[in-house]
Amino acid sequence: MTRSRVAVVGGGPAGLSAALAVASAGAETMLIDEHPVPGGRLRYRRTPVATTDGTLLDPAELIRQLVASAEAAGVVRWPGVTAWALFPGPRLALSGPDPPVELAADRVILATGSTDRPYPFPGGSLSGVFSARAMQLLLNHYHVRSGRRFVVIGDGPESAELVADIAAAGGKTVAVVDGKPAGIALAAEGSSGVERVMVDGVTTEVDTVVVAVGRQPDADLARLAGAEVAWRAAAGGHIVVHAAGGETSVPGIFVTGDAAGVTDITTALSRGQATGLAVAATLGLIDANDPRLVAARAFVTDWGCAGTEEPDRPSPVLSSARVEDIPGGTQRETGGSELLCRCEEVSTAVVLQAIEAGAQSVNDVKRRTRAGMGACQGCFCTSLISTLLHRHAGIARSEVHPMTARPPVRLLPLERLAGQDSTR
Amino acid sequence: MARPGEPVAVALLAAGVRIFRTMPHTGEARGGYCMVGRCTDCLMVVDGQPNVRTCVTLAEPGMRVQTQHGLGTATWETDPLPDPEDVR
Repeated sequence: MTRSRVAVVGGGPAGLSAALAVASAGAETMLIDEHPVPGGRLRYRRTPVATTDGTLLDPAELIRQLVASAEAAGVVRWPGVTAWALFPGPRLALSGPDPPVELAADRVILATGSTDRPYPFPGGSLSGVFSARAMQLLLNHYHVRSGRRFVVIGDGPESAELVADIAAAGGKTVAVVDGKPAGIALAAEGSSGVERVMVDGVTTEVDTVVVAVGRQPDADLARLAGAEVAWRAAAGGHIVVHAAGGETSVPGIFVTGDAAGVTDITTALSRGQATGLAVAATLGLIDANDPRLVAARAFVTDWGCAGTEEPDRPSPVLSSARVEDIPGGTQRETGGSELLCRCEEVSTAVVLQAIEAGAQSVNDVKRRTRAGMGACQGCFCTSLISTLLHRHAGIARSEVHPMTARPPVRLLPLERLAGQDSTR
Repeated sequence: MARPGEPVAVALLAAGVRIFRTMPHTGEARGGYCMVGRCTDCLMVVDGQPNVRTCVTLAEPGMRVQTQHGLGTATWETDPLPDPEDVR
C-alpha cells in the first residue's frame, strides 16, 4: 500500500510546521516554496520569536531548526518551485527547476502567507515607495539600505519594528504617518523617484516611503480550486472559509498560517502544526483524539468557520488603519488621481466612475476599467475595489467577492507550459 | 556587482539604480515595490527576455539587464540587443 502524499505550498513558519507535523505522522510530504531560501517571513524579521513551547528564538535560528527537523522527519523540500495552479483532486501545477509539471496528492496544505495591504496615495507608484515587507527584506535579509531618509505610513507593531530596522541599518525615519487616511493629505513627489513628501501641508525631503498598513491573506490557489471565501476584516480582508483544522470547502485542500487569516508568527507556528496533525488524522495516520492534535487545536485562532460572526478580538498585526478606511480621505483632496491598480495604471477616479456607471462587482469593475487584469492579478487592488463597491454602491461585504481566479497565479513564460523551457 | 544569492533588483538597488521600467500607458518610471514577485514594478529585460521579475531572479555573471519600456519586446540571439545598460 503506498503512503499517503501531502503537498505543502509555502515554506514559512506555518508551512514548515505543517510539513514537519504531517511527515512525522508518516505521510510522504513535499514542501514547495517559490523562494530559493526557506523561512518565509522569518527570513527578514529580526525580533526574537516565541515558539510553541514559549522559547524565544532568533528567526534565523528558528528557520534552521524547523528545516532540520522537517528534513529529519522525511520532508522533501522543493525550493524555487512555483505552484501556479491548484485543481480539485487535488492536483498542483508546478514550475521550477526540476519537478514534474503536475503533482497529484492526497492532501494539499496551502501555507502561502500574506501580501502587503495596499495604500493608494498621490505619488504612491513612484520609485522609492516600498511595501513594509519589501523594505524588511532589503534591510534584514539582503542587507541593502535603499535610501537615507524615510517616511513610514502606518502604525502598529510591524511599523514600529520597521522603524527600528531602518535605524539599525543607519537610515533616518523622518516621520511616521498613521495609516488612517481620513483627514490626512498625503502625497509624494519627485522627478525620477520620491524626492519629497507632503503630509498635512508640511513638506519634507525624503527619498523613501514605506507602506506599513498591515497584511492581507494570500490564498489565490484555494480560490482557484473553488474554495468558498468570506470577508473578515479582522483577518485582513477576504479569507478562505475553513474549519478549525484548516479544511476548506474543497475536499483535500487545507489552508493554514497567514493564508487562513493574518496573524503573528507564534500563532502561525501553532496553526501550521495543528493543520499538519489534522491532515494526518484525516489520512488515518493518527487518531482524531490524539492528545497532540487536541493540544495543538487549543492554540488555533479561528477566522473562518462557517457560520461564525466576525471575531471580536482584534488582530495583533494589522495597523490601526481599518480595511474599511482604505482607500480613504486622500481622494477627497486629490480627486482620485492616485493609482488604485498599479499594474494597469488605473486611478481611483476611474474605478469610482465605473461604479457610478453601474458596476456591481469586482469582476465588473475589472471588465470596465482593466483594474485587476494586470500581472498581479488583483493581488494589490481587489481589497480596494471591494471597499469602494461596499462604500459607494452600498453592496454588503458578504456580497462582494474577489475577481474570478484563473490560472496561472504567477507570471509564466509560455514555453514552460509547452514543456519546452529554453530559458532556464 | 551582485553578491551570491542576490536577486537582480536587489543588486541594482544596492548600486543606486532606482528605475527598472517605464509603464506602457503613462510612461511613468517604476522602481521596486513589493520585492516578492507580485507587483511587477521590477520587470526588466534580462538577456533579451522581457517581463522578468528581477526581484525574484538571482543575478548571474554575464547577465545583461536593460530597463524595460512598456510591455517590452523579446529579442532573440540573432538580433543585437538595443542600448544595453550594463550592470557593473
